[in-house]
Amino acid sequence: MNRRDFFRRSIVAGAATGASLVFGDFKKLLANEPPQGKGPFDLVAVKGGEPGLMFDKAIESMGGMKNFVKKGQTVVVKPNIGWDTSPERAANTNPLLVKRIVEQCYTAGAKDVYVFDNTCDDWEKCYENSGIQKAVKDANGKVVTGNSEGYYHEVEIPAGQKLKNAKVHELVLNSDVFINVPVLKAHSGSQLTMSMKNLMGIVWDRRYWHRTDLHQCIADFALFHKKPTLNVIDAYRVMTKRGPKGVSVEDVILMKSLIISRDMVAADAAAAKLYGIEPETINYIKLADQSKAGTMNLNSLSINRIKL
Amino acid sequence: MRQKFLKKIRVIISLVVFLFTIFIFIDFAHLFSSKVIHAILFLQFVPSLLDFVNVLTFAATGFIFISLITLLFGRVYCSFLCPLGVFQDIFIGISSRIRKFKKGRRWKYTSSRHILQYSILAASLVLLFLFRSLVFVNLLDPYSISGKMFTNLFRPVYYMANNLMADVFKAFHSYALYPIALKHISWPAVIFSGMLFITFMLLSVFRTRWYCNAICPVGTTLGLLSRVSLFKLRIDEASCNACGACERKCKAGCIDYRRNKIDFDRCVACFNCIPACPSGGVGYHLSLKKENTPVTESGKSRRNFLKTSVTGVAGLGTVLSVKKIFAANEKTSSTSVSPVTPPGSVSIWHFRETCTACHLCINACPTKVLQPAFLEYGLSGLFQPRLDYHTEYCNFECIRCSEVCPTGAIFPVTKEEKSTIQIGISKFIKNLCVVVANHTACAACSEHCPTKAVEMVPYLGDLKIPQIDEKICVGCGACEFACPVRPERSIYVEAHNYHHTAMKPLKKVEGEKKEKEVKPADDFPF
Repeated sequence: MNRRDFFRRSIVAGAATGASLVFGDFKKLLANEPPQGKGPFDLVAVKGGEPGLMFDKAIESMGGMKNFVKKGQTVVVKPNIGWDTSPERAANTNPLLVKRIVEQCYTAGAKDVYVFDNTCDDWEKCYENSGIQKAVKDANGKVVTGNSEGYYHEVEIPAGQKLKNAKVHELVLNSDVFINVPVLKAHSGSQLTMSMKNLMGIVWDRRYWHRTDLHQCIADFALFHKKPTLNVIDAYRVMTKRGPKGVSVEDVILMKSLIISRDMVAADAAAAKLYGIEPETINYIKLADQSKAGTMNLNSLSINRIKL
Repeated sequence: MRQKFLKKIRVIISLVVFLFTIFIFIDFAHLFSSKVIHAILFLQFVPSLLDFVNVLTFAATGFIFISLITLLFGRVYCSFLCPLGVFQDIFIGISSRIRKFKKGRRWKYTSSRHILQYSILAASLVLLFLFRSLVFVNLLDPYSISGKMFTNLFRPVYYMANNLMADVFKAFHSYALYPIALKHISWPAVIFSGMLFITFMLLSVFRTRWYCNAICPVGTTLGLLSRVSLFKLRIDEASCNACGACERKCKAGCIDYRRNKIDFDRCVACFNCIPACPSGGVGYHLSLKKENTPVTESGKSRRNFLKTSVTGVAGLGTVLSVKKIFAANEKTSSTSVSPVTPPGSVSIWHFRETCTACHLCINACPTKVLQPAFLEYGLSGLFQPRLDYHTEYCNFECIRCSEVCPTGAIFPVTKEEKSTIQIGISKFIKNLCVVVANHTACAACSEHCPTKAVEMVPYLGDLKIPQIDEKICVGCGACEFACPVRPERSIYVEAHNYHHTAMKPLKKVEGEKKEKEVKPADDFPF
């Protein structure tokens, strides 16, 4: 089903893109409703609340979940579930946030909401001990393994400098809506991990990235045509030491923040600032900005800052 | 006699035990807790005996129970509980049913093979006690043979069946079933298990329970006990009409109807003879007085044979245990000199001397880092499991193998204990590292390290390379698994022959390390 379905969808999507390129201006003139997802803000940052509440506020100011998820659509939510650790250690995305997102998707009329990650530690233990499996099931979402190679299909990244192709999980390729939900944390290889780095969890062969040029590959993959519809960066608990897995709760501070944006690079830039690092000092953010995968210049964006 | 029900009971119990035993060797969903697994294996003779000797636990008294049962009713283990016995019975049953259509399947009395079986038992014991080698037990114990067949043959088939079903589900847009990856196929173990399968299939079809009365050390041991069983199967002379039906039904070939005798030490207690007798003349009788079995003429030569074979085995043992293993001089760059043994196994010596290579832990291991070795432990440790860091790494929080091990080769450990067991130490080969060779960032090793014994330290400019704190390294192999460098990895685990104790990583944070403090700001910095 999947490959064929994928091709069919990509052809339709391609045609639609072509059409919008040709008739774009007319469409704008004739449109009754704003194009999908275009809220009044490019980026929303929230501070001082619980994970679920912060997401509610953020998505509300982006025009509500209906702006991103239409009735009957399938949604894939991709949190970071990489490690076999408890939620308090913040190596994985906060389960309460994931739960709230799944609930919001269903409220907006989603048909199915899938959640997966290509984990580093044993996936069953990660899913269970991160608390995410239970959170998703409580919200009637569907948990799928990301650790089966059969689910991954070859894609091309023509604009990539060092990463020209990758195998991507079919849920990402086939779903109508793709919500990227990383957790902000220190990372021994990439300095900080956020939206762009989190996408390593939708590809199969990550060793190639490490072997070739980690930062360049992360930036290259940000050019992959199926970009996240929305990025939600969880900075409720933030691991500041010994990341990405951490060793104990002592590695974690409470930041109680959240950032959402359609632009991965902008979201990562804002999260880096939140953490206290200038975005341009993180190599992959700079590279992604240069290749126009997004912008790290926050001054050019309309940002809504919400304090709870 | 009204003992016909015994055969039916035997068939039912043996099949139930057999299916449960198979299931714990192939189940990937880990449906059974370790307690249930121990309950299923409680009565397995060799693991229970080894566990009792090693751990001195009352949880491992199954072999005493079996011995008592044998002293009462003979080798009940062999037909009720022995997985290899039931495996053979299934083929015997199928083949006799097929042949029934052509010709009557009949077996007849065979003479005993005491010399062979006692030599093998003696050899196993000599190798075990004098040379501390379990090799004969590993290769001959019926439970361990079954375990190897279940793990290396049945399990892949079960996985494949699941994966086919998962494909069918997916065709209907359902992710309810998911494919399970074997991750690694250990071909020597698969081929060896395949040979075992074929051997036992052929043996059972053409020689029925020959193995059990010629080779099997457990069968021999229980046979010795059953010589003095309180109740024995006997042909009632008064009701016998010399039809020979019992002999033709005897899988063990231990009934001689012409001489009206049953060699009870070779009887595997399948009870087929009881319903076979038309006059109900075969059944259990109290057997208090000593049987007047004629002393065979080979009595003396048997003793001589035993002597010579013990000497021979002693020589073999020396070859096996002294000459082998740690040929440290052949060390290549990123391969451990000796195999890494699981946490809880204390030392490579303890592990080699206690593990019967039943492979139960191999299926229990959630990450599948445990794989059968081939010759890594030497000939003596053929197919004993090792941690294979090219396949996976040992989950820091997991103690599953130590929970399920039925022999005490892997002692039970708590998560707390395991977190400081150092089974080896990471070694870094700097010139192979991506960062050094390509000047690009990587840190896959440090990312995966559960204790941050592998930490990134400044190298050139922004680049960082790994540095290993051996004090807090536990040897889990996450770094070796994650390292993207091929063919030789730039970081690997060198096994400890004796496991050490690692320091807790917590202490380090309070100490010398100063990292940039991140403080949550009150306002948005953008």
